[in-house]
Amino acid sequence: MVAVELSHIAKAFGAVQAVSDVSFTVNQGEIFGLLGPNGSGKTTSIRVMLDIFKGDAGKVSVLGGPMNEAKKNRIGYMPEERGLYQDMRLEECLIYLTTLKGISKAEAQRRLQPYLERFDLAEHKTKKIKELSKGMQQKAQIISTVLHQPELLLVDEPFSGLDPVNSQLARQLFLDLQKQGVTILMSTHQMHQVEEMCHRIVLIHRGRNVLYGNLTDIRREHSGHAVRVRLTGELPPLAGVLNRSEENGSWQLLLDERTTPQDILHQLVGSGAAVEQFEIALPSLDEIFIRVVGKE
Amino acid sequence: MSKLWLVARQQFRHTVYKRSFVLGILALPFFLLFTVGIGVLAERAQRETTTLGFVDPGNFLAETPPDSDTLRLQRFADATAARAALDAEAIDLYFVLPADYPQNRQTELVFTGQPDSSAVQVFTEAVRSNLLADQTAEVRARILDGPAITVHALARGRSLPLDFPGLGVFLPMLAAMLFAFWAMTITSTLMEALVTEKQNRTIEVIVSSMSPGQMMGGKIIGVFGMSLLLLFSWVAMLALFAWFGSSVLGWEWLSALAINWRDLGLLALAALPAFLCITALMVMLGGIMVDTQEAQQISGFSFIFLFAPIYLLGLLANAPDSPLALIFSFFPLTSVMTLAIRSIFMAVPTWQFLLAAGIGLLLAALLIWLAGRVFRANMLRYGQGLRLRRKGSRAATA
Repeated sequence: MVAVELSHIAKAFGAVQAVSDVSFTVNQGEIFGLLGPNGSGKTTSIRVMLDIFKGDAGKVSVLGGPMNEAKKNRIGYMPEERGLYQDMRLEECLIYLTTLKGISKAEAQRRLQPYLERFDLAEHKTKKIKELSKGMQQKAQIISTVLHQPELLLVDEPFSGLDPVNSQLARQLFLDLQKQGVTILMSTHQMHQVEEMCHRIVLIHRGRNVLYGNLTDIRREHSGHAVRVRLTGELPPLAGVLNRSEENGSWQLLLDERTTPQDILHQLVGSGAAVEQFEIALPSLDEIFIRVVGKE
Repeated sequence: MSKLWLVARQQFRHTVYKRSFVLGILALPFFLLFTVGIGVLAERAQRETTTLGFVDPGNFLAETPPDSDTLRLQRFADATAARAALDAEAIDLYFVLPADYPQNRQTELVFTGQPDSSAVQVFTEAVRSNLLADQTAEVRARILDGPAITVHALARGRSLPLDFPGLGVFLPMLAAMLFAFWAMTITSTLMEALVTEKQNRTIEVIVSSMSPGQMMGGKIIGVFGMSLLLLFSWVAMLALFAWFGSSVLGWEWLSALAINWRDLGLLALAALPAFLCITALMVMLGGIMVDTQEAQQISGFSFIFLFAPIYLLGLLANAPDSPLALIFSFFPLTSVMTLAIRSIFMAVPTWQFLLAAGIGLLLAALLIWLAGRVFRANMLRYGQGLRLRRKGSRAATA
């Protein structure tokens, strides 16, 4: 079942074409990665999706139809340009923002305490937002995004400003929410987080889709024709290898067009080498990102 | 509770619980207390008893005013005795009425320090009253009151007494000033509220929970509620001041206040669209401005329009129906104050109030439309000022 569907959306601001043609679907219950370099149109796409901006063209379907005011209560949005009321106390601010999502004050109060404890903010709840550190404010922002228990979560750079411990806390929260059936659309530049959390992605560049689909498939498509081998002892001479390079004790072998990975494995076993690891050398998402965006 | 009311309540509480709001409420009573205090002190200072001596060998003064808290009269047999009393500071001043005063009407006033004018006036009136002793009480009273001139400006439909026209004549202008201060408070608070959303970068979170219209409506209601509280506080304090002045201090000019309800009503009619225009302008500025400091500076500049007619008071008084006066009357930002000033000096025709209100409504509708578009187009432009040309293109594409 599809939670979000964007079909050929476009949006211009005066002479600037922020989004030209972006399409993707986000399935219910998945964590979907929305990637792209700065200024590629990610944030504009999200804003069109939420009806903050009206798109110039294309169709948007959110939670089974066009976006409307009622659906806003079912969505949690953490914008890239985030902020909280600096003069308000933490607890008061989070409760106020949650009541704007249709939750009663009493219920918001009841839900808040466990989150404050989970994110180590309980003892700071009476402090004004401006008295909190940047990392604490970031955690408070995450809480305000999820406190009303949304079905769909749109998070833009959720890990920025967080140390590794708090990044792990946030990541675990998103994974827990996914297990509960929440659909998450995550926009980030932290590719390792995408690799760890997302099954499908879309990469937008200059307002258009340049990559879209299953992350494993995408990595395979961009794998080139190489294998990664780790073995004890010396690497024996192998036919069909155009280039070999060693990194951290494993060898990356670039194969010619006629040689398959199975041919290499067969040669290795035949030579009596003790193979510890053999895999198709898939590029990291970072490498794919740089390759695709650089080429564009 | 609907989201609109949640925003309204939050905005109301956020504004009312501020120190600046409490100061705003207290500013007027402090001003009034200061004014009343000065008046009371001045009155008390005048209450010092003056001892006025007089020499009247011809016994001209058959009737002398009775002694009071402020004046005590003392008769002397001759000028030497009076002079001795003055030198001994037993009296403050003395009059000498020669025996032939009824024929020559010449008197002599002797004093060492500055003579108390009110004491001199009381004694002078007593002398005049004695001069009219052969007249009936009615004629004496009429003559002693002197002329009461009222200027009737037939072409302008106004009658103004020359001595003191009464506070009621100035009420529309006072109301216009109160309106200007009130409008300044409410609209600058509204603009600050909008800029604060941008400054805190919360606006995107808010509009992902409700429509920009709901957010704006909630903020307007919240700020309006705050301003009503402020207005009621001011009016209550003015009423208290009026009661205190008339009942306790016995200020007659306050007791005899005549209110021109027709002018006040028509002025209120013209004030509503003017208020809408200012509000729309402030919303537009709120959409453009980056931080509250910048917003306050710009809003302060824009409020010059509201008070501009006061600087033209002389011109408006001399020619209240001049082309300049008419232009200022029909321009929404200056209309309320101009109409109020003109209504002191002429009966402003009803159609002029109505035309001012009509023009104000048209401009308000245009500005509200434009403000909505400018605000929506720029609400997510954090930390960036806006050039006017860009504003135009944004508004066109929003």
